[in-house]
Amino acid sequence: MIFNSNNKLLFLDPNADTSLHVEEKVNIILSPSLYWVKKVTLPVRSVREVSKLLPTLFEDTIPDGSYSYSAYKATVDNEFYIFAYEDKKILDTITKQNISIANIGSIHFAQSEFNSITNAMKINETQSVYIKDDIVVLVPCCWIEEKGHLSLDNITLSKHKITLKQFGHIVDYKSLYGIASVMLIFILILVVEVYTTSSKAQDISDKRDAIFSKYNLKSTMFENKAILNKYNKIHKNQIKFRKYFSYILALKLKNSEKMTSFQLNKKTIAITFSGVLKNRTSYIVSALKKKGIKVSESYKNNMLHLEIEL
Amino acid sequence: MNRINPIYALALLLVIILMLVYKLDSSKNELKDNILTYEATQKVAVKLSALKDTYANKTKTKKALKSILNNALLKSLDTKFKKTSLSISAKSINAKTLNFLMSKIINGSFIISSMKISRISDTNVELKMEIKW
Repeated sequence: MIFNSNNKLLFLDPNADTSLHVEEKVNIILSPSLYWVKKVTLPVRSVREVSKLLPTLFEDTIPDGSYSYSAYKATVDNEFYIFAYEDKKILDTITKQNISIANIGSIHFAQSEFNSITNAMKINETQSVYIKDDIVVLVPCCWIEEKGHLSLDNITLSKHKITLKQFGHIVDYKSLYGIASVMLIFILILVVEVYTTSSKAQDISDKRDAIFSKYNLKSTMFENKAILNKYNKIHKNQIKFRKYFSYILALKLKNSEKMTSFQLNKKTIAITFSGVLKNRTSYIVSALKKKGIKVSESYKNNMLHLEIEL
Repeated sequence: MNRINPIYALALLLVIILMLVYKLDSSKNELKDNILTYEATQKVAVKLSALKDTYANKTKTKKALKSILNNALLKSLDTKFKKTSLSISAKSINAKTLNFLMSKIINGSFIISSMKISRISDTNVELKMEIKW
């Protein structure tokens, strides 16, 4: 299968003498010095099952480091090629070769792309690659006499490719996924909460509108409050009048003392008593004042005149 | 090969969270305001409705007044229904009639806008009263 057939194909070798310096889109084949590879036989069928075992399979066989892993099935059942590679090391090599990350189409292992070479191929001044026991290995040039130069012209890229974790050396991806998951859950909770709160606010607003039509209110609360104030005043005034009226009627007068006039005018009650002796005026006035009534009095010729503000 | 820096992705999520927290805060404030406005509106509506029913229900007030004035004891009163008020007057009524009338008017929910009771003898009084609606 051919991928990105229009892209230029490059062999990435950290020991290369020359800088590649390309500005076009490229596909990269990694030198064996940039990864660790094993061919293993496992009692599993799929690559997915193998992936879970990869860190264990390389444990204690490769130097300590921050590795990513990859695997693909060999031609025989239950046989797999498994890889361990350091993203940072590959990225550093890419940067060293003046290749922009944005220009990289795909990255492949030499193992998957050079599996059909017959002779050793020289990749730099000191090293060659050749196949030994189905594994593409890197050997010093002097070990092998028959060697050709590396030619990528006839290479047809396989579907086995990797994606580098550009920031894997900076952050722990597992922790990031954990944090991101928590944040996403939090976002979800917030979205639900915002939706619920907004719905409640809308419901309350609708209920308020319903009150307007139910009680036949004016369109603005300003008008309604003004009308309410008007009726409140009337109500208070009427209640006060009735209360004061009952207090006045309950006054204990002497036989000679008579209420000759009672008059309500807007906010004033005027009362006239006849036959009241001077010393009795204070009794009548204080009896009303005790009830919290504001009274002004005038006395003339046994006539007591009271004025009460409502 | 171009990948987004995961720190940027987390930062984006954080920005989204902050925006949502802000939005949630606004929504909660809106809800609070709506509840307060709703309660205030309901309070005004109930009070206004009750007061209007008591003091501004023309039909109900007129009907109640006519029912009182239909009493045989009050036939001697001069009554005059106007557009927004009722005038009651009597040159001379006795204490019994006055007591009956006053007990009905005072205990009813009528707007007594003016009233004048003048003693004319030991048993009789002159009365002028106006009730509005």
